[in-house]
Amino acid sequence: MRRSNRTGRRRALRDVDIPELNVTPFMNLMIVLVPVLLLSLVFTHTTVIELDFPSDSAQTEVSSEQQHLEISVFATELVIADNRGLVRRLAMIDGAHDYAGLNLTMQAIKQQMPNKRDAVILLEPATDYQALVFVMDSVRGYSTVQNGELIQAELFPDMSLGDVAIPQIAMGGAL
Amino acid sequence: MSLRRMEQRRGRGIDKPPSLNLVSLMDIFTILVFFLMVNANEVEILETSTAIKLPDSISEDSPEDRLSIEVSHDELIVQGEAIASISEVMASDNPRIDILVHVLHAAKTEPGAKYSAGKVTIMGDKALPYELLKRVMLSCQTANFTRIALAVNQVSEEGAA
Repeated sequence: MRRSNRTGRRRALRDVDIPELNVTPFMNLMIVLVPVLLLSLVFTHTTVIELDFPSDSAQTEVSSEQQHLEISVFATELVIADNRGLVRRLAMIDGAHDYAGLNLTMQAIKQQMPNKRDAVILLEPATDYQALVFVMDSVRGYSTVQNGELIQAELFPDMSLGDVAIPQIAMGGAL
Repeated sequence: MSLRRMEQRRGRGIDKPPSLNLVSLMDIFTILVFFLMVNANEVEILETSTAIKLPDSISEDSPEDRLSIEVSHDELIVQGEAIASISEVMASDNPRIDILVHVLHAAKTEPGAKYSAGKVTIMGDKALPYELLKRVMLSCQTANFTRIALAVNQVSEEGAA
């Protein structure tokens, strides 16, 4: 008698069990949301490199006394020159241009001429676009650690492009 | 007695169907949804066709909505419309691409022109020769589009070097 009473109470306890949340609508929402967001997820991030060319009406003349910095991209080497002459030749390393060396040379030149912002990149017609972009990256800036944070420091962001084959004097305002 | 208990237990199973424990699944989904929503904030402005593999760069400048010129291995595409074939362009001796100059000029001067500021984005395949790129840029310059953005694929510093 006593036992049956106890079981009865237990049964009553079981009946007022914690009511279960109905999560089905929430699950439906999640199941729709997850694929939608997954599809819109961008895996490759596209950025741009800005180039400002002089317009036709305002042709810029490169004056001879102005410091002039040129980076020539040949198939086998990179040649850095200014108006006094050759600064450095960088041979290829493991079948690729020495972009790290170019970047270091640019940093050294920037220290000598802190106010200079422009550089001319001269290319052979067959140079591929990727090599041009790598050279631009090396000439534009360098990354440095400041206050414990990695930042991009400016070197020569005003770049112009030209052909390597044409004589030195003509290529100043080539593009 | 033990037999009766077992019967009781079995009986319990019948009068109340077992429910799935969805708590952990919901946890995963909730975290995943928040993660994806945060990531989805970065809206892609430039849409490149799969035929073009942009060159890698460490540049961090974000693109803006500009007139777009796509240069793939076989076609020159302005605002989604193919205007010339690359083989034709390369075969000519003209340093400028006349049709491109014409199209750009039209885009700049048409009434209510959206892209009158002379800004253009060039999306070129990474294997293209500079020769072709130069012709495209020279054409842009001739049509008074002098602010050129070269679209690149952002990679981390280590990957680029």
